[in-house]
Amino acid sequence: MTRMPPSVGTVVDWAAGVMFRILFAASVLFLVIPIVVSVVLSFDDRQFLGPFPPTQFSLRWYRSFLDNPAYLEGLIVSLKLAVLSTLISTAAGASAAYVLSAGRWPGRDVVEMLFLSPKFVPTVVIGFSILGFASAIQVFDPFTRLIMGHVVITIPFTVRATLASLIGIKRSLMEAAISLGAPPWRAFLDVTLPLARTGIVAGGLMAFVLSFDEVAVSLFLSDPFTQTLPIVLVAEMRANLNLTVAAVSTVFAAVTVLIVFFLDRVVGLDRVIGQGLYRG
Amino acid sequence: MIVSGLEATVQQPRLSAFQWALLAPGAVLLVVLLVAPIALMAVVSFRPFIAGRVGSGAGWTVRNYTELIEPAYAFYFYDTLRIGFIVSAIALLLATPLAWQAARTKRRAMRVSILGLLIGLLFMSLVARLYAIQMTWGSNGPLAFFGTLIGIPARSAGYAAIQVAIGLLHFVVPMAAIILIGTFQNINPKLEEAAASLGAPRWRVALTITLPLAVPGLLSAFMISFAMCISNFVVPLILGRGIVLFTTNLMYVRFSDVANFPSGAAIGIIMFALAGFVVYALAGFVRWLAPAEARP
Amino acid sequence: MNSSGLDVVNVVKRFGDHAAVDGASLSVKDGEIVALLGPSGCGKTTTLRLIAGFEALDAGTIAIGGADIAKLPPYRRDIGLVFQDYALFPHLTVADNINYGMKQRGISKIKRDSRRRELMRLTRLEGFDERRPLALSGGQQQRVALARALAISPKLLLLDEPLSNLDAKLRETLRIELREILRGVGTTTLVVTHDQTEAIGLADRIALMNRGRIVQIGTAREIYEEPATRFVAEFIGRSIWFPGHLKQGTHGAEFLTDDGFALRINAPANARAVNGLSIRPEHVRLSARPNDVSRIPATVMSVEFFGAELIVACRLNSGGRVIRIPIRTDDEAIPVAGASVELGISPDRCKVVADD
Repeated sequence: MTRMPPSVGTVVDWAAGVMFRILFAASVLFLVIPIVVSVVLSFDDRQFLGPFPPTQFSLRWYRSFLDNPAYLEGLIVSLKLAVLSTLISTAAGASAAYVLSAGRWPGRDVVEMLFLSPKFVPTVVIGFSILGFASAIQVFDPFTRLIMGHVVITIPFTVRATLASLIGIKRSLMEAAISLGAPPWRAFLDVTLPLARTGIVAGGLMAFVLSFDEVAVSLFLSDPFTQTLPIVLVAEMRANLNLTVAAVSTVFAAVTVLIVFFLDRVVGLDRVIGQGLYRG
Repeated sequence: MIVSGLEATVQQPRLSAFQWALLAPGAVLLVVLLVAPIALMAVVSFRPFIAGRVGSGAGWTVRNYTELIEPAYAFYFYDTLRIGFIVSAIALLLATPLAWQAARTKRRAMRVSILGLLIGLLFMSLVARLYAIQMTWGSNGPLAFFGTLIGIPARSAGYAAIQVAIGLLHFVVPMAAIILIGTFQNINPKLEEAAASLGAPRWRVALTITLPLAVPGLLSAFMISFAMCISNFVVPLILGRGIVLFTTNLMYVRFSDVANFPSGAAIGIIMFALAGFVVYALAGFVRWLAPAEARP
Repeated sequence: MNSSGLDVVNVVKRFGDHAAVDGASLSVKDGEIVALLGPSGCGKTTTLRLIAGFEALDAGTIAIGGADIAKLPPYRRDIGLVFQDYALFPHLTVADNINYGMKQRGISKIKRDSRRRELMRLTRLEGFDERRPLALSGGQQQRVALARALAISPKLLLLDEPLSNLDAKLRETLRIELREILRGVGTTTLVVTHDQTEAIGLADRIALMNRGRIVQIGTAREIYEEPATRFVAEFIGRSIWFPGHLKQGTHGAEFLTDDGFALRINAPANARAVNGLSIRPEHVRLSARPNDVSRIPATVMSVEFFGAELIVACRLNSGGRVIRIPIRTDDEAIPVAGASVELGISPDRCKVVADD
């Protein structure tokens, strides 16, 4: 039996397949390697920044993180800020999303654009403009200003996520509750809210993460005495390269893994992305 | 079957009091915290700057805008757009295989791993990621040899731009990939099978069937990456080493170093307009490429 | 006096320039089941939503038990509503679904439980208390929706296309079952449907709706035998339609069709705007009897076999129209294609009506 010589098409196919695999591997490595490097470095026992990989391991940078009051104060400010702005933007965003999903009333598109627009305005512009506005209306408390900024940048995410979950809720459900004697607000609490819960929680989670990691807006709106953790970290990174930041980054990475695990369990990663039209 | 329920989808002409009550808090928040501040910023951008004084002077001027045309400033805009463009193009190249695998793999473990990686990166602190990049690609890092490889040693000034580009890539690739997963998932695999059954080799199927159908998705992934890049602030701040500054950083410098509010405001208005233009162009492009009936 | 009946009078609802409901009137007597029947887009669902209170009236009145409810919000109307898609709350159990309306009314737990058990027995849902709606079959879901709507002891029950979401094979059985439940509770009921079998099988009377108006109300038999308009004649059952005009003949009233036949008719009740004649195909005799005064010569084109009946297609010699007449397989001489026949029509079967 003679073997057929490979045609030009199959050779090109083979080459394209190899290229595709190389590119795929390169992408994954590009995204993963830095995280691995920084996790490994966070356990470095050396006091200076030595070449990779470390020769000895310890938890000294984690201790240094806990010993530095600037980090802890930043962490507390960031947590307070993230919790408060998430609560405000979830409440305002989810209820607005409900009205946006309730049919096509006049002016709806304009209002929807208003709610989603902070996503497209550069964060520096938001930070800068709120700073000017806050001093114009005599608001000088940095924490209040931070809340103002963080609510604005997180609202589009809570609106989006809630809208997505409301699409699946048929209008007849709300009407059924009303016909059974529930006033609209009651029907909203009893039917719409529980059914939209996953979307609202997902939106809140995104808002929290976004607020917790925000730099640009916070840089404009904080002052030397009220600094968020990312601001402290950036200052630290620019001032001196020690590995405490690596320890913090590793903690962040661990929290992220937990969040993704939680998302997969509660919502399913497929539902976060969407299955599309042609996947079983 | 005749579905008379169709009649029920008629328009709802007015909002009830209850719906107004739900809508009002968010709308008021955004008008006060977004619309009003940007309007005020627009006003300030036409005020003269008086050195040594915080805030702005009285009277009107366009100097804050005209001075940005001077080469010294225009260069920042050029640099921002150039790096943003290159990074968005490379981001498509890196995101496509990730998205394709996630959308088409038969193995659930593969799909969940890719989705987990992408979503995890979206949720992971950008500051922490940028630090990791500095540790990895910086002059002391294990991948610093890459700079020598392409003739821009990690310690040279030119490498700052490379590092900023790497940081931006790490930022936009997961987002671009997630957009493209949606695109690829909505291309019917039957079309490719049909083409393959007609004897077309796979590379030809990819070029003649898949690619044209994916163009709207690729384009929107590119535009969104581009918008994210040029409006980014943290990446050049941390990885630019003061050598690479984006317009965003320039705006911050105008405010923090020389307290020139009117100039910062003018830059802000230009960036606001630019972002608006990119979003508008994106929406227009997508509509133009995918007429309503062809969209899923 | 309509003690707990529904009175809809001259109701109008416009969406922009289009009047979806254009002066519709109907009433449902206390304890009666009426079907609101009409083609898709005729305004019947809008009428239902107006009665339920989900749309606001532009004109007219809606009253239950003589009291105007048009100003009441939907949650104060005491109307039980069974939605086309059932609209069961997916996050609540069957028991909580049925309890929901009673809870809104502040009914005590003891009373709620006994009412629920009674309804679940009536709708044969015993033992399903803790199930989630999505774990039930379509028929079971429908009965939960019905029990939930009945739990509030409504003055009026509205059913929106109650059988349209069910398997065609099940519909027959479930229609009979639904009818028995409705008879059992005796609540005043309005069923909205586009399916005449559903309407005939469920309701005491049928209100036929077309283009936003009620065109005829009556029992199924009345509507079938005395259609008020061409639309009614053709929507319920089959009809042969002859356009033409009335004429006073030598022996009495006659109808002159446009293709040239003079058909003897009984004097019409009202002769206004009459421009056509409707006759049921089964009332056309294939071979005229000696006493038939109206005869139409025709030629048999084909004979199709349908089990219990045969359909004979005949071409009318004048005008060339083809009409299809059913005959029973066993009762008449079966004609062959090409045969000449004289179709016989009795005056009392000819209904002269307006073409709406």
